[in-house]
Amino acid sequence: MKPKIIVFLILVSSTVFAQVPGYMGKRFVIGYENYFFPAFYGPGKNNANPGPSFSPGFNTTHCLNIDYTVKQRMNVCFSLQHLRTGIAYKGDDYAYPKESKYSGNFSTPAQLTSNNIGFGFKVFRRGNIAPVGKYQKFEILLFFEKVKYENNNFTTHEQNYYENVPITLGTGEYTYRNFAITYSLGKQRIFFNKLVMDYGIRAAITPVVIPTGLYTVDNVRDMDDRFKVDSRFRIFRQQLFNFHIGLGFLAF
Amino acid sequence: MNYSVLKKSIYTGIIALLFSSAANSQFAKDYTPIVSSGSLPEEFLKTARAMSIEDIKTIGYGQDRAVKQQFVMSNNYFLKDLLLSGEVLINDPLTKYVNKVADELLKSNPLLRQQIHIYVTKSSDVNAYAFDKGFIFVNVGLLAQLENEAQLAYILAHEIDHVMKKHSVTEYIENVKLENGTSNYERGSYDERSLAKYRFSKEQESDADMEGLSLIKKTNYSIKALNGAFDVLQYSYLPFELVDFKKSFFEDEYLTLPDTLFLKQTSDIKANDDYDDSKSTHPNIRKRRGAIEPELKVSDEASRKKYLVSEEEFKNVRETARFELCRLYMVERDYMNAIYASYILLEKYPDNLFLKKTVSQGLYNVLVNKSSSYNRSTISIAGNSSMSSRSYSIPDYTKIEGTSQRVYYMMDNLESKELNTIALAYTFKAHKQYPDDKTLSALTDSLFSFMINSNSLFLNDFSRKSKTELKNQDTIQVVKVDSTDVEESKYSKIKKQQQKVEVETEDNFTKYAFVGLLKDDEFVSRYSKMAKGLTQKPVTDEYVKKAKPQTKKKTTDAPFFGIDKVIFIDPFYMKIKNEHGKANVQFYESEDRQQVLLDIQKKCADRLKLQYTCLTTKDIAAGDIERYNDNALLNEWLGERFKHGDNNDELVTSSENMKQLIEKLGAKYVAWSGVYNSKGGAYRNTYFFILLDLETGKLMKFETRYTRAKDSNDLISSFVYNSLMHVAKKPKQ
Repeated sequence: MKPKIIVFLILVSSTVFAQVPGYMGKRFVIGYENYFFPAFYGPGKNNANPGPSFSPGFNTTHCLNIDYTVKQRMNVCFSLQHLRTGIAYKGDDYAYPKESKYSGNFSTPAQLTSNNIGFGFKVFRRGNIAPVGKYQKFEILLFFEKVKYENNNFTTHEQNYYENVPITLGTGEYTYRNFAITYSLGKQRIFFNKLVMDYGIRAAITPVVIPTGLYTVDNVRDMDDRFKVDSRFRIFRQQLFNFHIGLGFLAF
Repeated sequence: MNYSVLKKSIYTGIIALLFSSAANSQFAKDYTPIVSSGSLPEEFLKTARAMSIEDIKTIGYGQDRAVKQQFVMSNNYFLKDLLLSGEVLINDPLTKYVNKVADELLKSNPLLRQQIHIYVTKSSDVNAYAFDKGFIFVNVGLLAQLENEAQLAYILAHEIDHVMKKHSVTEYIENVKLENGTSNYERGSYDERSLAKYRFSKEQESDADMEGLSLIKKTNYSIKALNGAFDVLQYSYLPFELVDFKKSFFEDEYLTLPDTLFLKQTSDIKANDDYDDSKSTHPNIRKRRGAIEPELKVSDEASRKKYLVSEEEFKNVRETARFELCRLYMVERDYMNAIYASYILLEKYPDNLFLKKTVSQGLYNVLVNKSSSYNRSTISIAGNSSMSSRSYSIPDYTKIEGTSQRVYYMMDNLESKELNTIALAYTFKAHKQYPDDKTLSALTDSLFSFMINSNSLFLNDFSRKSKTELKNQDTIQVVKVDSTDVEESKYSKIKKQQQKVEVETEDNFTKYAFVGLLKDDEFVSRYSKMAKGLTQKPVTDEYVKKAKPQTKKKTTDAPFFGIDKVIFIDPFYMKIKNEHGKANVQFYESEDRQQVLLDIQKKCADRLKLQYTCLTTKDIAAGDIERYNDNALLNEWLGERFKHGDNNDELVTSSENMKQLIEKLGAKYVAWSGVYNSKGGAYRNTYFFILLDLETGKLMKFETRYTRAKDSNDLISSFVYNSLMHVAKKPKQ
C-alpha cells in the first residue's frame, strides 16, 4: 500500500510542478543502481571468516530507482532495494537454552537478505538543473530483513563435557524490520539524451543499540535475539559506507 | 589665355561642378548606412581551426615553433571573430576605394598585392591595423579624418610593412621571451622587461614608418602630403572638423537660449606631440615626424600627386565615412560627438534627414540619462567588462579641447526640463519637415511622454505669447496705469513688476519655447494624445498633473513568455585553461564548442516547438551576404542595447532598420546565449541567456548560471532547455 501512496504523491506533485524543465522536458528517470563496498575480510554472502578458502568479494545492494524532478534542483526518489550478505557464526557463543556451539562450516555464513524500500530526495548543486549534475541525497530506508541459518548444525554437551550432542537451535529463519537514514553525494550524467548514469558515495546510519540495552551482544535471550543483534550489526557495517553506480533512462 | 584653353577651363569647371553637385546631392536629403554587398570572400568562410592548420604547416621546425603555433591559433581565432562580427565591410564603396589605393600602391608588386586583403571596419577609432596573415583593417574613424588620398596610401604602406615583415609574430615571440627572461633583447628586472616590450614595439613601428615611406616613394603619391598623416594621428581625439558651435542651432523666433549656456571661450587645442611614450606601443608623434622629415625635404614633388585614384572619390568616401561616423558615435554612446559631428555636416547639408534624426536621438538619449536612475549593472557576465553595461554621463567638458567643448558644456548645464523642451522643439520641427519619417514621429511622442511623466511639464506651463508680445502688452498697460494711477492698486503694480522681470530674464527661456509650436494643431493634438494615453480619461492639464506617474514593470517578473518564434545569433563560447598562473584560451575547443552549443539550441528549440531562425555565420556560404548583413545589424543592435543596461528608454540607433529585419524574419525576439568555461584545478562554467524584444529594446530575460562542473553536453543542454522553456511556455492565466 505504501508504495502506491508514494507513486500517487509523485503523480500529484507532477501536476503541481508542471513548469519544471527536467532534462529536455523529461522528468521521470527509472534505473538500476548498485551500492557496493569491498569485503576484504568478510563476511560476504558466500564467505565469512578469513582463512585459506576465503576470497574477498563485494557486499552489494541492488536497487531499482524511480526519480522524479519536482523542482528545478530537486528530485523525489523512490527505490526498491535488495541486499544479501552473510553473518558469521560465533563458535561457542550460543548458550540457549544450554551452552551450545556451532559445529558447521564457519566459512559459510548465515544468510541475511533484506528487501528495502527507500524514499528520499536529491538536491542538486546550485546552478545545476535536475536531473543533471552533482547532488546530495537524503533518504530513509526501511529494511525487511530475513536471516536464514543452519539451525540443526549446533551441538551441546549434556553430561560429558567432551561429548557433543547435536541440537537444533531456533527455527532457522527469522525476519526483522529496521530502518536507516542515508546521505549520498553523487553525480548524474546524461548520455544520448536518454541514458542516465549515476555514481557517487553513500553513508547510512542504522540503529544498533537501543537505549534500553536489550539488544546488546551480552544480553540476548534466544536465537531470534541473537540474530537480531547480529543482523543489525551486519546491516550497520554493510550500509555504513558504500560506493554506488547506476544506469537508467529518462522515461518521460 | 586663348579660346581653346578658356573653353577647356570652362568644360573642366562645369564637369567639376557637376561632380561636386552630384556628390553633394547624395547627402542632401538623407544618408543610408553602408552595408556589405557581393559575395563573401573565401577567408570569411573558413573556420579558425582550418586557417590555423594551413598556417601551422608553413611554420618551420625552429626553436620558436611552439610559440609560433600558439600565435597562429590565437591570431586566427581573433581574426575570424572580427571577420564575422559584422564590423567588417565587404564590397562597399569605402572598402572598394581603399583597395583601389592599395592597387595603386602595390602596382609594381602584384604578388604582394594578392596577399593583402584590405577591409574597412565600422569603428570610430582613428586607427588602422594589420594581421600578419595579410589582413589590413582601416577604421571608418580614420577615413573621416584624412585630408587626402596620399595620407591614406601612406597609412596603408605602413600597415603593409607590418604584414611583410610579420611584425606581430616577431613581437609575440619577443614578448614571450621577455616574460620568460630568455630574451637577448633585455634580461633585466620585471619593470625593465616590461618597458622593453614597449621599446621593441616602438622599433617596429618606426621601421614601418620608414619602410612605408620607401614604398610611397616608389609610387607617384605626394611625399609632402604625408606630413599631414601625423597631424591626423596627433589630433585624432578631435572631431573631423572644427566648426564654431552656435547657439542659433537650437533657436528659433521664440526659443532663445541664454548666453550662460554657451562657453564664451573654448579651451585651446594643445599641441603636445612630444609626450612620454615609454609605455606606449608607438613612438610619440614628434619622433615619428622627425624620423621621416629629412626624407620629405629631399623628395621631388613635381611629378607627384595627392590623388592617384580620384579626388572626387576620396572626398565622397570621406563624406560617407563622416556620415557613418555620426551613426557610430551613437552606437558607441558618444552622444556629444554624435551631436557635434551632425552639427558640422548639417551646416553643409541643412536638410539631411539622417543628421536631424541623429541630433534628435542624441538629445533624447542624453535626456533620458540625465533624468534616470536605472540600475545598469544588470547585464554583466562573468565580470567581463566588454559585455557589461555602464552608466552614461556627459564627459567632463573641462577636459575637452576645441569648439566641440561648447556642446559638452551646454548639455552638462541644461536641466532636464530645459533639455526636454529643446529636444522636443528641435524634433517636432524636424518631424514637420519630414512628416513621413516614423522615427521622428515616435521620438516626438516619446519626448512629450517624457515631458509629462518625468519632468511634469504641461502645456499650461508654456507661454502662448512671445516675450515681445508680453512686453508690448505690458507697456500698453503701464501707459494706461500711468494715465489712471488713481485706479491702480499696490498689488497690481507688484504683479506687473514681476511680469516685467520675468519677461526680461533669460532664465525661463523654456517658457517661451513653444510659442510658435502651440499655434500648430498637430503639436497640441500630439500632446493631448500622449496625455490621454497616460490617463485614459479626458485630458486636462490639471488631471494629468494629479495622475501618478506610470510605474515601470520589471522585465524579469514573468517567468514564461509564450513566444513562438525567436531569432538566434551565434552563441559565445570560450574555454580557458589556467596554467602556471596564465589563462590560455583553448582556441580549437572554443570554436568546436560554439558549434555544439548551436546544435544544442536547435535541438532544444525543436523539442519545445519553438520556431528557430538562426543567423549563424558558422556555416555561411559565399552567397549569404544578406545573412551576413542581418547578422551584422543584429550584433550592432545588441552591442548598443547592452550598453544601455536596464535603461529601456534609451534609444537604440539601428531600431529603424531592425523593423525591416523583424518583418523579414517574422520574429521580434532575439536570443543570445553563451558559455565561459575555465579550468584551473576545478572547472568553472558561466552560462548566460539573454532575450530581447527587438521592437522595443526591452530586456525580457537575462539568466546566468554558475556551476563548478565540466561543461558537458548534458549540463549545457539542461541549461539551454530551461532557458528556452521559459521563452516558449505560455504563462499561467
